Amino acid sequence: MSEYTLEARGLRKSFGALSVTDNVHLRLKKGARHALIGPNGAGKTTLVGLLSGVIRPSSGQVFLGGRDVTRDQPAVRTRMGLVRTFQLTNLFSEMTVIENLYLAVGQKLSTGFDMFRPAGRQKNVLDEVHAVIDRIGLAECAPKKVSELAYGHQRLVEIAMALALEPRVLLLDEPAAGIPTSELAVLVDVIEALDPGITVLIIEHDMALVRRVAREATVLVAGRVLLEGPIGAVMASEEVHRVYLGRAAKRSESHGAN
Amino acid sequence: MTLVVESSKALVQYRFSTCELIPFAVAIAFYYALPDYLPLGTAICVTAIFALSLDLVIGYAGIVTLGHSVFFGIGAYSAALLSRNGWGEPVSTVIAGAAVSAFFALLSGPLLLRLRGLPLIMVTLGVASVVSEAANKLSWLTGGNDGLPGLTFDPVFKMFTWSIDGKTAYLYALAWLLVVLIVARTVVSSSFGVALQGIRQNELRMRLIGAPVLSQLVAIYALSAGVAGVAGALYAQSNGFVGLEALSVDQGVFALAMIVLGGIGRLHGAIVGAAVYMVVQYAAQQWDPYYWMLAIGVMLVLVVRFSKGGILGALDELSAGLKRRLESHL
Amino acid sequence: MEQILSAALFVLLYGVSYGLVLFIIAIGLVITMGLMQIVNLAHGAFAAIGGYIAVSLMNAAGMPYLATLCAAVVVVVLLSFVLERLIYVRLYGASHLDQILMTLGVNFIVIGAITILFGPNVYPVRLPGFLQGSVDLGLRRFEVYRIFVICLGLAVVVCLWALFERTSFGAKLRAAVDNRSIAQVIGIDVDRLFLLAFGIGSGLAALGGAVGAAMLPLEPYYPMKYLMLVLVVVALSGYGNIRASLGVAIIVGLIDTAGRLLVPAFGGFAIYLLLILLTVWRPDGLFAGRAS
Repeated sequence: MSEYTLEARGLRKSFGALSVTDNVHLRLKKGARHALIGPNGAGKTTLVGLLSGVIRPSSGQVFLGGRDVTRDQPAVRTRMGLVRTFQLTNLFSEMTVIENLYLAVGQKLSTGFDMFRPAGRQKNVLDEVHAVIDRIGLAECAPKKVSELAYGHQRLVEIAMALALEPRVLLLDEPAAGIPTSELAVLVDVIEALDPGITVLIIEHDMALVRRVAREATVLVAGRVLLEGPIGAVMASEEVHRVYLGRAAKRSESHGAN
Repeated sequence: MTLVVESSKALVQYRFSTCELIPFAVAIAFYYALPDYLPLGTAICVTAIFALSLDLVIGYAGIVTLGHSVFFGIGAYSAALLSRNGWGEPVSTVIAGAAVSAFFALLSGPLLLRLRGLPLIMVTLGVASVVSEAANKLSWLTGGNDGLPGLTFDPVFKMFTWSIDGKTAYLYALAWLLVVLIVARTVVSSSFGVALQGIRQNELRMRLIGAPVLSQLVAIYALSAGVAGVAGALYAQSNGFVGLEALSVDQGVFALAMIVLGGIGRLHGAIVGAAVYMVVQYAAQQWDPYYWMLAIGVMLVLVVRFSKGGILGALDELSAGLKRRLESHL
Repeated sequence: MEQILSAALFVLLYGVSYGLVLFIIAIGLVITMGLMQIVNLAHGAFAAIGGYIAVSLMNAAGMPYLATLCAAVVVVVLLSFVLERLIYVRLYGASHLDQILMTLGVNFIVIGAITILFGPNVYPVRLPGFLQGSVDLGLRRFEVYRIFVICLGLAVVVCLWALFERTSFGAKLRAAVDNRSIAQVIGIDVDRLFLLAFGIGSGLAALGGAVGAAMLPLEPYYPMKYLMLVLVVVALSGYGNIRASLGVAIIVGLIDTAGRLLVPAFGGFAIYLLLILLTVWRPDGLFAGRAS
């Protein structure tokens, strides 16, 4: 049994001559809170795609709990406990929140082929759906269509969907993207309240959120790993500042740090 | 214009609402009121079952296929061959027809359903064309152009004989329609049914939830093929004859027109659409045999252009509008 | 040996002439689907209408053959402009299903109209005097008609080539098919381009239907019957690849002819089997790699 829940070895993805991901190594232990940061276009979302199986690597491997999942379809990886959220809301927008979560929980509880019992009478599924709704605090939004929700609530539904699948590894792709700072608190609370046993990889630009949630970080620049280590050391590194954060972030550091 | 199904109905407590029985009330009234038209009524029931099968794949699962006539034809020829070889029990024949169709769907599904959109449409058209041509050539099996005539079947449940006035055939087909409708309603209201809607709306997300999308699609494809097979077998039984037109690609195309006319993705739309289509075809043919295609074409264009949900959709909007008027007056 | 060569020449002549007619009919749909992204199942109807107009003008009004071809093309082009404004303009950006249903409706209307106007049977075509008979070209006799079709087909190909490669209209069209949004950004009036392209495509379909009437018999179900073949050409050439469609059309013509000759029992299948196999193998067409 490997000591790492999620591991990427030598991941490479090129489109012709363009190397979007270049020899990326990543190792997350169980319960990790790991941030993936880097300038726009560094290939962070591509990396998440490679890890979740939506993109096939040109070379390299992905391991989940010690098992080589490089050849496995996204659905297989999800069933093994690797769950991702989306940067741009990718929910079932014409369905209500309840129905969205019903799909996730239903799949988790293997009702995907249950053709005989009415959906509305699957008590175990509905109970779990309501439990997740309460945990995330979406009770008010529950009966509404996702397309009618405020953007901040949609992001919460994204996370709720992920949690409903009882993940071992959670890939959060810019969960705070587009959320005004005033509404950020709820999201941060939810992420902080995540079960310590879940391994979390979070891509984020919002450094305040990263500081609160992450313990280690990997910096990705032009598809390559620039630096990796404890969050404090990474944030303080000169090299990282030069390449990515710039002076503006140094200013926000001294503001948002405590 | 959108043809999206109202999905929130899926999670409503399952209840057979009384207005769903209206078509059957009409059908029973028809039985007593217009006994001379029973053969037409029987044909409507059979066609409605086929249209239902298509609605299951297109309206609910979002699998656009123009080749569903294959499964209708397989059901029809299976029933015919059983009869020609001495097996005359009608109910088991229908089940056998359904099973054979479903079997072929299980074989072809895993390959075909990896495709979507235009490629899928093309391939299903291609398969239907190939099967149709093959049936023509395999005349030792299918009777070729002459078809398989003179099919006879035992009395239904050993009690109801097939009479010339078509009464048994009508009630028998109507009973099967009821059975098929109940099965279809159950499936689409189940967790499986909700999953299908999820696949139709956002397939990638379903995969990332861990759903075995291909398997689920194959399952509904096979179920729908079985239903089409039921229709085909009933066609054989009510006509006493099966010919190449049972495999004609046109059938699938006309059925598509029917479910759009009635309202796609709501099962009852298939029934309404089939009934309206057949009645218009019948009436137009009485007037002038060549006008019906024109009429159907015009209806289709109008429906796609103006009515979002076909006839039932228009009725929904009408009743919603009436409700609003009533409420504002009170 | 002589027999094999003779058979090969037969396949070549018949296959190429058939393929060229298919190309002339299909190129319009290739453009429509590539440029306008509309699945126009009614395309075959334009071919049918062209055929019926040409043949009826010749039978009823005794017009000279070439004049009937021109008349057919002109009438259908005008008709297509009207239909584009009335119906097709609403299909841009609509779902495939909507497009299929609408164009299917148009198909039914046309089939119904043809049946009312011309009856349900095959409409007989009498070739004009100068196209009847056959010519001895050594190994075997060749029908003058087929040779005429090949010459006309090649002429059309050359004209199209000139249009696409040598005119600014063609350049704009190619740009818009390749990447519509960028074409709009650089100032190409894509809507007018559509209208013109649609008209050209429909006119060509009419020409194909008219010229090919002796090969592809005219009957009310013509639009649906040959739709399949046209779709095969469009699909296998990648839903919009103009250059590829010529090659594909000729290959389809050759395979179909060869199939029917060599394996009469199953010759008709060859094309459909090819379509199924190739689509499953390469869903985006044989020449994929377009920006869509």
